[in-house]
Amino acid sequence: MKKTPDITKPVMDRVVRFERKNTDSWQRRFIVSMAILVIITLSILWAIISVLSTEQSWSLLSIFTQDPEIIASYWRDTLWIFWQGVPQNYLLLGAIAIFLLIILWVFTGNKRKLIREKRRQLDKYV
Amino acid sequence: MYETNDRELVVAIQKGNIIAYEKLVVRYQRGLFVFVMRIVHDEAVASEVVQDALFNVYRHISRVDPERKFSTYMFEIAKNTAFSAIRSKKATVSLEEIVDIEDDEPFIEQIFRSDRIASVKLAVSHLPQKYKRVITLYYFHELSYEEVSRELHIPVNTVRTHLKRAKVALRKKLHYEENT
Repeated sequence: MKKTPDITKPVMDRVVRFERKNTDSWQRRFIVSMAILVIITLSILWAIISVLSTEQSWSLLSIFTQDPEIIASYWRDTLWIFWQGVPQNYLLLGAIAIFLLIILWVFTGNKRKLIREKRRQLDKYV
Repeated sequence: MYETNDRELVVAIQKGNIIAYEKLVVRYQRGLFVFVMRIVHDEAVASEVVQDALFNVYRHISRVDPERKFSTYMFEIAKNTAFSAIRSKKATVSLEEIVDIEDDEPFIEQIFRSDRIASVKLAVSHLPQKYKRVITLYYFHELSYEEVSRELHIPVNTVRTHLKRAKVALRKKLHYEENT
């Protein structure tokens, strides 16, 4: 019987090259997306803290270091005033960024698992 | 001994077990080669077609339904790839006639497989940039015409033309080096 050429290696080499490129590209895009969202979230958080510091809103919270009777009487009003000092538009943007971060993390769960498995397999393949 | 069936292998590959595909390649390559030979009647072309078919199946493995018979899918892809190869071979021939480039395939194939690879690489490095990129991807990275085309964002026919011209230039260069 005539012998047919063994093409296992060339095929697997192409498969491995393809997967390396694909998984690298996916990981890069994922990391960049996460990094952008984290930077946006941290920037917003930083902006909120700056506004609160400028308006000295933090000092309002010192009431919680007072006697329990004072805390019991004023905590609601204090928190309400503190809340009023928080820049609402920044807060909304921050909430959106955190929401997007969670969505990205949750929706890429299966894909991340798949990519992790593929990378493990690629490391094994010589 | 228990042998993993196609369905289990497909499921494993879809879950990221790349190496499981090797079993499918080993299992199907002979059958595919015989099947494709009946269509293309050329061993080298058949070998390339089977490689392309197996690679294409892998690329779209996530879309394969494991409940369906894998061999049917595999042979269908091989058949389509074989017919595409025949069509593109015809297109290449007519393109060669148009650009009037001599066929230097055996010589070039030979030197790429020879022990002169270092001098070949040196000669390649002296080629114009557009030829150098095509020849490097095709021969050294072993990409297909279609993959080179995608990589460089140029049409497949341009890849073929560049490759032909690069080979002619390379042959001249190597002949010149031999004679000096």
